[in-house]
Parts: sequence; C-alpha cells; structure tokens
Amino acid sequence: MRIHRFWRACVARPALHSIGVAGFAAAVFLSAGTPRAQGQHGYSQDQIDQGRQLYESNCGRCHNDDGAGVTGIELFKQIKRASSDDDVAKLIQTGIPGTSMPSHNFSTPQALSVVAYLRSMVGVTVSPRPAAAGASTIAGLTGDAAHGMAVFETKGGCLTCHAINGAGRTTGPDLGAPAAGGRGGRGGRGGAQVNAATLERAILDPDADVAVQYRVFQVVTKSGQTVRGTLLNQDPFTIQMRDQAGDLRAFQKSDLTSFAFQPSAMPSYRGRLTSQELADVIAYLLSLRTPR
Amino acid sequence: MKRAVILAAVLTAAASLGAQNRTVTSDRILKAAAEPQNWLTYSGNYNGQRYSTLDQIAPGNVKNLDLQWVFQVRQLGAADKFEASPIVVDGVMYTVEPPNNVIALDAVSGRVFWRYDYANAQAARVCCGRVNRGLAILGDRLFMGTIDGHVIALNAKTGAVEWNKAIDRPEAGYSITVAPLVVKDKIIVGPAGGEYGIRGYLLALDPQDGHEIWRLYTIPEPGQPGSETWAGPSWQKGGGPIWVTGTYDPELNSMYWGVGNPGPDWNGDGRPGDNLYTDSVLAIDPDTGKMKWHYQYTPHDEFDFDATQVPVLADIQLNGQPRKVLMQANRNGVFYVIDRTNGQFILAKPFTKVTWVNGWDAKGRPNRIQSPTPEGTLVYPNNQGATNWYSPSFSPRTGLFYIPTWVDTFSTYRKTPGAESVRFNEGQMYTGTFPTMALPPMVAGATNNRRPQDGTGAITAVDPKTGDKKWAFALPDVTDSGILTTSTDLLFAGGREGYFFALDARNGTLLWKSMTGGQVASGPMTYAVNGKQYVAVSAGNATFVYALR
Repeated sequence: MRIHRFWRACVARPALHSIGVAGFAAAVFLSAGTPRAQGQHGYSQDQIDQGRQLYESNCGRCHNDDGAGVTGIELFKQIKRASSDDDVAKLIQTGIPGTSMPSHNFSTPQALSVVAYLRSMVGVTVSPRPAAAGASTIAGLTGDAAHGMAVFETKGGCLTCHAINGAGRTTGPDLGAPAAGGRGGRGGRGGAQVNAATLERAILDPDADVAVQYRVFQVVTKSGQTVRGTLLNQDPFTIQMRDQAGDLRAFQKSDLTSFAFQPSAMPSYRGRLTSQELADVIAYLLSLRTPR
Repeated sequence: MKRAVILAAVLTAAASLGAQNRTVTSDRILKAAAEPQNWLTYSGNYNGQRYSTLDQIAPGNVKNLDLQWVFQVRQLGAADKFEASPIVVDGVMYTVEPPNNVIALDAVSGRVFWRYDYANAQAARVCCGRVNRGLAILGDRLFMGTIDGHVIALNAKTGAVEWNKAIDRPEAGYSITVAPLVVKDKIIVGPAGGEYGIRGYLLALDPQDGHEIWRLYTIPEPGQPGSETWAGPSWQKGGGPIWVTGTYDPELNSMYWGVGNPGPDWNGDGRPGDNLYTDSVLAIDPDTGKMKWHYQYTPHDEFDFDATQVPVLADIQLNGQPRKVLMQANRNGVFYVIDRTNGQFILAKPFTKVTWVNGWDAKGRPNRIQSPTPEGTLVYPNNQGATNWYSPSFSPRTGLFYIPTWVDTFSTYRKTPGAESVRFNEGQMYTGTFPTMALPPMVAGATNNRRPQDGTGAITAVDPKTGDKKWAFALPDVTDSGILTTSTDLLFAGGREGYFFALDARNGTLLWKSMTGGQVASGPMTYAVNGKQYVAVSAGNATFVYALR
C-alpha cells in the first residue's frame, strides 16, 4: 500500500524540541507517549503517562484517540462542561447525568492524571496510521538546519508556495506558524503535525495525506462547468462544498460527470533532493517549531 | 363531517384493539412466519433472516412510500444510539427508548398507549453508549435487559412491572443491551461487558418470576473442555460477552449465539491460547443449556473482533446438496458458512479488505498473520469491524446474503508487551490500548469530508454458495444500519448520512430514498395493520414509519 508505507509516527506534536535527525525514528516512537506541556499545570510525566493509560483504555472507545470521537466535543481543545482541573476530574468521576458520559471508578489522583493527559495533548494531532520502521531514506543522517534553510529557499523553491515568518507565499501551509491552524480533522494531518517522520513523508509523498484545508475537491457538471474548492460534506446522493470564491455550493451527484479529490499541488521531492539535503530541510523546519 | 371522521377513527382503533387480546404464545413465535403482519422477535423470526413475506410494497410502487408518523425519544446522550428493533403485535408497537424506557405505541398512528421509565443505577458501566437493542414478548409480558444488569418483565397491556431481577453486578461492568430471545418457556439473555473483565454467560430465565433455570458460561473454568485455552487465572476475567440476539432452529432444537471478544481486548499476552469460547458461535440445547458444538472465528483475538453478529439460519443448496447452514458476516471482515447440524466449516471468504488472515485449514482454523505491536500494526478492517451488530439479511428468494459493510477501513493496534501492562481494576476498562481509527467509531460527525482511502461503506450482496460478492451499493460513509428484505425483492437499509432507502435486492438498484436527518443505527422492520403494510426504522432520535400513500 503506497499510502500507508510512509506513515511513520503515531502521534505528532507541535512543540517537539529540535532533535538530531539521526535516530529520529526512535525519538518519535518514544515521544508517542510523552506529550509536551509538562509543568504547564504542574503535572509530572508519570502522572501524564498514567493518565494516558487510563484514557486509552477507558475513554478512547467513545472519545477516540484524538479526543474528538464524540460529536461536538474536542477534549484536546476545550472541555466545555468544566474549566478547572479539579472540576474536570470530578466530572470524570461522576459522569454527566442525562448524557452518555458514565461515572468512572477512578480515585481522585487517577482522575487528575487523566486531566493531566488531556492538558498535555492540547494542540497535538493524532495520526490514524502506524509507524513503519525502516521506510526512512534519511535514517542515520544528521540534519544541518542552516544548510536546510538554504536548500529550502533556493534549490527546493519552497517559498514559491510556502511562507515562513512572512516570507514566501501562502498557497500551501505556512510552515513557520506554530501549532496554529487548528486540527485538520480525522484522516487529515491538520495544522499541527510536525516531526521528522511526517515531514519526510510530506516532502517525498505529498499526496499520501493532505490536511483537510488543503485538499482540493473538484466537480464537473453535466453542463460542462468545473468547480473546485473544499469538500464540506457528502452522502450517496449529494455534495456540499465551498468553492474557491468562498461560496457555498451544493450538487446532486446525478448532475455531475465527475467528482473527486485532486492530487496535491505539492510536487514530490523524491530524487530532486539528496538524502542529506532532505535531512537538512527537515532539521530546518523542525527548528522553526522550537519554542523560543 | 367531523363526527364521521371521529367515528371512523374510533372504529379503526377498535379494530386494532380487538386484535390486541391475543396472547403471544411460544407456538405463535415458533410459527411467526405464518403471521407476517407481526414482528414477534428481534429479527422478526427465529432464523435471523430479517426477511418478510409482506408484499404490498414492491419495486413497482415503492416510490410512493410516504412518511406516516415519527416517534421522537425524550433524550439521547451524545454517544447514545437508538438501536432497538421494535416488535409489533396485532397493531401495537413496543420499543425501547435508550437506555431503558419502554413505549407501547399505536402502530398506525404512532400515538403512545403507555410508557415505562426506568432509572438505571449510577453504577452502570457501558463501553459504547447507553443502548438497548429491544424487547422480547411471551404471553402478555415484555422482557427487557437493562444497562445496570437487570431483566425486567412488564405487563404488555399496562406497562406495569411484573418482576425485576438483578442478574449481575453493574459496578463490575455487567450490563444487558441485547434483546432477549424467547425459546419455548424460557427467556434467554446474557451480559455485555467485554471491556470490563467480565466472565460472560448465557442465562435461561423463567418468564413467570425470572428465576434462573440454567447458565452456560462462555468461558470454561479449569477442568472443563476448552479451559486449556486459557492460562492461569485469565479465564476469570476473560470477557466473552453476549450482546446481539441469537437464533433458533426448532427442528434441530438448537439455539445459536455469537460470543464477544476476550479480555483484555487488545493485549492477549496474559491469556495465551485460543481463549475459547470468545469470538465463537455456539450451538446450544435450549432445554438444558448444554453446548452441542462451537466454531471459533478468531482464536486468540487481539483486535476486539467479537463474533456477536447475527448467526443467520437457512437451508440452501451447496454443490447440488440441500444443506442446513448458519451464515455469519463477521466483524473480522469474513463471511462464513457453517453446517449448523454439526458445526462443520464449509466456507470463509472476506467481503472487504482483510489483512489479518491469509487462509483457513480444512477445519476452518484461520492462519492469522498480524498482531498488535509496540510501534503499531496497521490492520484491515478497523476496530469497529467490517460489519458489527447491525443486522444482516438473507433473502430465500434471491438466495443472497446482505451485509452492512464498512469498506476498507483500518486501525493501528498497539500494545505494550506483557500481561502486566494491562492492570485490572474492577469497574474500570480492562482492554489495553485503544486502537487508532480514521473514522468516528461510534456516532457520526455532522459532516463527512473524508477521502475514500480512509474507508467508506456499502450494502454488499454476497452469494453464500461461493462467498462471492454479487453487487454492492456504495456509501461514502460507513453504515450502522441493519437490513430488511422482503418477498417482493426489496431491500431496506440506511446509513450514517441519515438516508433510509430501498434497493432492488436482485441487483442493488436504488428505488426510493428518504432523508431522516439522523444516523440510522437500527435494523429496519416491517409489519401490517388492517391490511396496510408499514416499514419502520429508527434514526437519530426518532423512529420513522412509512407506508404507501
């Protein structure tokens, strides 16, 4: 399967500290269980780890591993029913009467550890696909961020479509922006993913996954009109989209000759950059995410 | 004029009420096919085919189906679904508003005769939404399991509680979501709770007072056959829940029940072995509770595949020979045909993309080639399965088996090796690491802008003689809908998008559709009152009933 071969990381996070590209795979795997934000609410890594275990076995079935499994609820973004950590913990223990949220037989420290995990996951995007060890073309290489910037701006021609700190264009994602841009939604990379593995795949196989907001959907009507834009919704019979002018458009599939996602506008850099250049670019892009 | 309308209404009501006095004997349930105007069991009939011989609605007129009435439930939590299959007896529809409120409705108008509200204990634990799949009826009593582990008998005419029996401890994860099955003079039920380290069982209860007549554990204790497939004390928390209604062959006097997953779901390191009788179908003598045979679909399951899907019974020709078969479209992505007289394996064939198995030996043992790993294993189908509890259908007319299908979905299964990595705390989930999925697992989101490669849905028609796919009606989203077929070669089903539709069962051609505005997560059924055929389905927060205009 071409699509999943290059998926590498289970969990990508925005504030991953700069890491040497050498051995990045191991770092990514380890980091799957070590979200950021230790200390933000005074939680220890042990608490977060315990909370992750409890979350994965108790909460994930409904809330999913991206925290957004229940319609209208995004646990990794905002918990609407309670604000303080103690209130959230209490809510986990007691459940919410009249909803599907059951009570949980957790001690208060256990419930707080789940809160610790939820807080640690703010801004983190979870990929549905697994790590695939051995697929990297840059394993063992150490990236040079300064050289990567040069490759990015010259040989790569990346500023033609991408902006970094105001320079370049915004046809594609702004690579200088920290975790902004929000979630991409399920199956999407979203605005927040950043690690060496996902960057490598995004550069070599850009069509394998495209963040929801950058997916281009195209319909062609029987009268010959072509409309491109963002797919908002679909069902067996109809399509709802926002066209490139920003207008909401709906179509009956029976009125169309074709409808499909378009390939990513980003070209693959496979064979266009050396492995070392690729490692350098990735190191550069990761350095942009380092908190300053 | 006004008086005439009222008089007509009174006469109509009297006609349906007059028929109401017939009690539902076990003989009537046995011969349910002789009264297709009623729907007396979860699947409409003991054979689980969800097939009706009502023939007023046909391919030529189905386009004239019109909404007759809607019944809206009072409240539904965010993860709850309206999964009950109504039963209909002589003009009265009985259904369960989630989680455990029972309603008796006039099946012609949708107006309420009575309602019974049940307050579940706070201790109730459910893995997957507070759901109930429906009622059983015998005599003048309705029987319902509750998510806090009770079985309740109600007077069908008044809604009054006749008895209420606590079956097991809800605080330990024992809940009842299955619609009970009445066989002769027994009520058959079992507990859900495969995510809580329960030890599952089937129970036969006395309809008079609810006392236990027999109990068959789905997981053997040391010394019993099959106990060698569990290591140490793992059998005590081995799962094996019961949560979808089984079927019954009166001629063979055998019940067939699918058994759910082993626990912990996604880490089998503490339970080396096949873990019988999880993920199996069991043939059981309903009089004694003795197991006649078993077939295990997924030995040593680490994907939470279950085997609770309805075991559909039919007599079909295979290689020129008449065979009594049991057919199951399993959550693991494979369609199976088994000889129901003896459990002999006949056929297994994937009905969508499946990567965990690459073949079966002559006895039907799968050659499993994937397991969860620390770094993650990508497995097709996904954890919610290629199908699930959603009722399939078999049409004896077309000879085809119809499957609500999740097409080419995948999950990443991860586990931290070692039994000690999954700790047991009573009342807390005992599962291992929840697998990653690209799709909303339980309840649909408001929109679907996913790409086809993240998984889609279909109504799939399979020829049970070969396991080959005959046709598929594609859906851009997965579906949690059951399927109904009729003797006029109509197929009714729905999807997460909220459409309820009719297809030509012979070729999958779309004949009619209606937008309900809510996710269809129930099995459609059909009934007739005063010579008029109705089709009912629950979607979102309501039951929708259609008939010809």
